[in-house]
Amino acid sequence: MDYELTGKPDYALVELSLEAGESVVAEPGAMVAMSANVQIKTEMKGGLLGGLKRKLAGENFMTNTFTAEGAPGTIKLAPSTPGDVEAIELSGGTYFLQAGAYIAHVGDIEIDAKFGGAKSFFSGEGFILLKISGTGTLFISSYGGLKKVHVDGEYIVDTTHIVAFPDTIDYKVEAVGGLKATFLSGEGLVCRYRGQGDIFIQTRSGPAFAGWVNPFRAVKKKN
Amino acid sequence: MRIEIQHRPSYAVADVHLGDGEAVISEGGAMVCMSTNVSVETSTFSRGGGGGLLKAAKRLLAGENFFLNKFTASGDGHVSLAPTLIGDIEHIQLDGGKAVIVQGSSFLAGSTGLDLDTQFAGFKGLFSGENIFWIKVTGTGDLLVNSFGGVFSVDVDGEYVVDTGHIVAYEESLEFKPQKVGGWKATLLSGEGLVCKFTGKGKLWMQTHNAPGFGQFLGAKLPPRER
Repeated sequence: MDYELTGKPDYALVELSLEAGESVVAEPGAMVAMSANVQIKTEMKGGLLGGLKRKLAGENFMTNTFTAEGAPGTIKLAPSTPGDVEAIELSGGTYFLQAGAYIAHVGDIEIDAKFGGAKSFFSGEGFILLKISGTGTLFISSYGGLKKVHVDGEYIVDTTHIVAFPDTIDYKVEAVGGLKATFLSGEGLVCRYRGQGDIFIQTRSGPAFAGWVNPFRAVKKKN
Repeated sequence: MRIEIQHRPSYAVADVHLGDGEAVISEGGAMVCMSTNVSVETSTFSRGGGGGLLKAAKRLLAGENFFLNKFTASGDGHVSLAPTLIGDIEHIQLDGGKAVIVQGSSFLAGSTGLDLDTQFAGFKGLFSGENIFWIKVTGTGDLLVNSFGGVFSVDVDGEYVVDTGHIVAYEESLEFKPQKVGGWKATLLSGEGLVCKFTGKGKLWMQTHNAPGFGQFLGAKLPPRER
């Protein structure tokens, strides 16, 4: 398998070249275009329970496996949000991904859901992460720009701006500042990281954008 | 204070580097990430001529931000700030001379040497059902404004006409008045028949996209919400 990340950084695309018989697993809706000999198989990864857990994590619980049949093939994959993509090489390690950051993977990789910690009163949303472990190549995406921060010591990131981080760094979900700051500031929950490692951050927030759009919806009429 | 704007022009984020005791004030919700020696303090501002906390709380329910956060570093620290919508960030330096009037939703952040007047009446108008409010920024320091899409400026000398949804900020040496624009836009889109005519001499910053326009485009495609 070869890959190229094109259209970076604003409207990035993952372009894969598969050998005959090689496969890539991708989230539903990610396929943009592919050669005609690439066959799609839709399945529930990790069985029903795993699927439901991933549904909770905000990802589609079905995944699509694309296989180049009989000859080499190519496939182009795109994330659902405008933004950047990045490849992470896993060799037995584990990464945590924000829901929505997963695009695809190649290799022997397991996907699971994990509750990240306290629920946010403000947004009513739980903070749920995808746990990705194994050996292979993982493709992630950001809403907006993708910022890589090397943490050495402690660091604070708004939970809605988290894209991915390795399990070698400790994290704790907490409210920022005092109670007033939490409820009134618009800064909901943050992750406090401790340790050493590279974390990926996105420069825009999905929930913040959804919150911005909401007032533009029509108001339901009373009967 | 040192400001670096990265991921320009589409998804700009401002990395604000603070010295010991230095602070930056930003719109609520703008914090992306920060060093742990930065503390956050929230202040309530009533915008556009009062209303106080209760009215502000109503706006909160309507999904609007109206709180300003003060980020203060103890020791060298940094905070990264980003707007809600995709687009660019412009760094405007104020030297204590001309004030800059910022369209409320374009305000991202400012250094503490600036005075932010959220009561500045300016032109209070309802455009496309959107209540526009303005922040008058005076003093000396760094001001960060954000644009929906790209940001560009024009040095106005005389008269200049801008669609209201595209105004980011302007120098106080300019005055503006809403006026009717003729043609198909006024005819076809009710409530959108107003533009702004600026007069005087000064700088005007605009954005390539109209945020309320985009909101209406999306809102029309979404199911109705509860009140």
